[in-house]
Amino acid sequence: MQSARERILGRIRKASGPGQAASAGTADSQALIAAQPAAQASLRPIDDVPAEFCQQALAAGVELHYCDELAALPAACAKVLDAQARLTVSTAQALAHMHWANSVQPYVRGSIEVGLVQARLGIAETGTACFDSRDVPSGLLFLSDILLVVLDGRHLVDRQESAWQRLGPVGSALHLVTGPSRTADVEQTIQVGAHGPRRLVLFLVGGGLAQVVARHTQPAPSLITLASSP
Amino acid sequence: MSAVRQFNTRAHKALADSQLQRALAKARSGFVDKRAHAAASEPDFEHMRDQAREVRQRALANLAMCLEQFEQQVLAAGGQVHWAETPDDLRRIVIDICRDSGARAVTKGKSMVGEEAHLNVALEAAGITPWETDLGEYIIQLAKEPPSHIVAPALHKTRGQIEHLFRDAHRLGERALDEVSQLVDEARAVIRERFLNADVGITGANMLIAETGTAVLVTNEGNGDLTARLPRTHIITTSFDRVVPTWDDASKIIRVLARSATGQPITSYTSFFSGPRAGNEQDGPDQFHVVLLDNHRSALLGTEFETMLHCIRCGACMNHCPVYQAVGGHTYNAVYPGPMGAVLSPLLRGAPQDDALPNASSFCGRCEAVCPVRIPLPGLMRKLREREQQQTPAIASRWLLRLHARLSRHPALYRSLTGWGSRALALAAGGRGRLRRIPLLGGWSRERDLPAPQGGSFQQQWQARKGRG
Ligand code: SF4
Repeated sequence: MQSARERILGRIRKASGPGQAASAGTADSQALIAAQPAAQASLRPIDDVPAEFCQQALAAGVELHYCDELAALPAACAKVLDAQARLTVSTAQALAHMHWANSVQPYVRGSIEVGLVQARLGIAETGTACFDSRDVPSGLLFLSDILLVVLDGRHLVDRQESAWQRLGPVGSALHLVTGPSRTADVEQTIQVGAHGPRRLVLFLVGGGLAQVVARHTQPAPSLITLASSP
Repeated sequence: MSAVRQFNTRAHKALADSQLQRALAKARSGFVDKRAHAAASEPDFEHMRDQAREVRQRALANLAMCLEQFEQQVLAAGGQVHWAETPDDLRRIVIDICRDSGARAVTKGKSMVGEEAHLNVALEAAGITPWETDLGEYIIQLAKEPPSHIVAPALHKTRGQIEHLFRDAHRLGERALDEVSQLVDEARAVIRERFLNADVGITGANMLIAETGTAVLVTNEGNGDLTARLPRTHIITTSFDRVVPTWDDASKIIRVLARSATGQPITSYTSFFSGPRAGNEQDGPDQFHVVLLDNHRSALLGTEFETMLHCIRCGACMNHCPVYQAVGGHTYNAVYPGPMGAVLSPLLRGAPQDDALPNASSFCGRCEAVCPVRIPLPGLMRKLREREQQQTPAIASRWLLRLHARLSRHPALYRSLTGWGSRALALAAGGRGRLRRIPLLGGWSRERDLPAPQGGSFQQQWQARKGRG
């Protein structure tokens, strides 16, 4: 007796053209299914990648800051956080070995006041930060009330396709994060802080982006305080 | 009672339901304006649509190969792929996995395939508690209702109704729940506990990527990620037509999905799941299962309805449909409402009550105009209707006249519908000023031409409207 798999694939093969005869996993089949049409109109080039990143991130509700180097980060974080706020820092990254003004809690699945994580890449077209599950536990990205994201200013790419190339193989999850969590499920009113972070604060570090960030964040962003817990 | 009459009765009730009309009015302006703004502010949007359509065409043209490759890659990553011919098969497979995991409670992200298979009812019958985590799904689970929209399942509910549901379900004593933020915060607190306690997480998938065996999930709330990554077992319920060849191809779909759905360039979260947790990762499931449903989809391949499988479930067609806007999703009495549902529901379910759905259209063409992958929805509805009319010839025109009689008792609505209708008729006349054939009224128009309303093409008027909105 045929399995459901064979019956479904059999129907698909029967309905489709001769290309279906090639077997999966061969170089031929990969080339065939990935073949881009020759005459496809391409999207406009993004000339100023950092500027586009800043603009899109701000539009998505990201609060943007700049530090010249990683060593300046603890002071920058202290400036935007309540002194009492407790930090949870992702341990697989350089951040884990730094000293912070706020008290640091180990990552436990539960409610986390402030998560501090490092992104692999930023994608300019949408102001998006990319996280690999080998660097950052997924829960830390989604259980934090406030998420502080550190992104190297030299790790910005124009579009998703460039990001995939630059990232190479990733862990069991790759999370693209663009702004805080939100919902419009109650009367189509956008409400921030649905299940994930209510605020997303992004520190671009290095890359000589001080002016670009300053240009996009005028007037200066207001001091960040902890949102009251639900 | 005939299918058409049943639809008609539900439409009449919907028109008289003031709460529903209030909810629909909000959604109407919200979705339409936001998409228009997204399309206008992205100069490459039309290119993006062409690219997305090309990806869907190439995926379907190489479907068997894509699926075999997807399966190989999931297995190589330590996950499993299950094939379900029917909704019943899908329910059985999911319940077996839950039992093997010793699950008593499961968290669920939004999955239209899960809805299609009525998974919650089956889970409950098996003694497993399904906890919906998408706010909209959670609201309709409390209300014990089916979704009325594929992107915003609780679109038909007003704030007041949601407050009522929460007060009944969460015995939290005296508290203010007047603001949207208070409702969202309360749901957040209740559902947060569930994320932490679930044994199994069940989500859908917006796409499957063949080259790496990856499932792509798009959300704004972050509930899908917490559902996928915290429990020991992650089950993805989806249909095989979601597959695309490569990551680059997935990007082409992502670019048009949120812009068309909610007017965002991208949703807050777009996640790519490839197999169970690897050795050094702190979060992620130990077991990773993908269940692929057929449910008559394979029978559409190679037929005139194949393009319906290009659908990326953005909801734009229903957001812009004057019939959907007037009567809401429940009137369709089908998991998939609106124009895409009017085509897909009869094809998948094939139940007699679905025969009326392809008639639920003013054939104004807005659905096709906004569909990111350019599915010719009115044409497909017409084909389905012709198929159905061969069986029951006179029903459609009677239905149309009756709807007309009912609509005329709702002047504002009637005006808005005829506004679209007249533009559509002008468009259909193609500048000749006469219509040779009128949708639904073939018998009448065989003998005479209908003068088409003048006043510019549909596109011109639509642009003008956009300018004003
Ligand atoms: S038919 Fe087109 S517009 Fe409608 S949900 Fe599908 S992709 Fe979106």
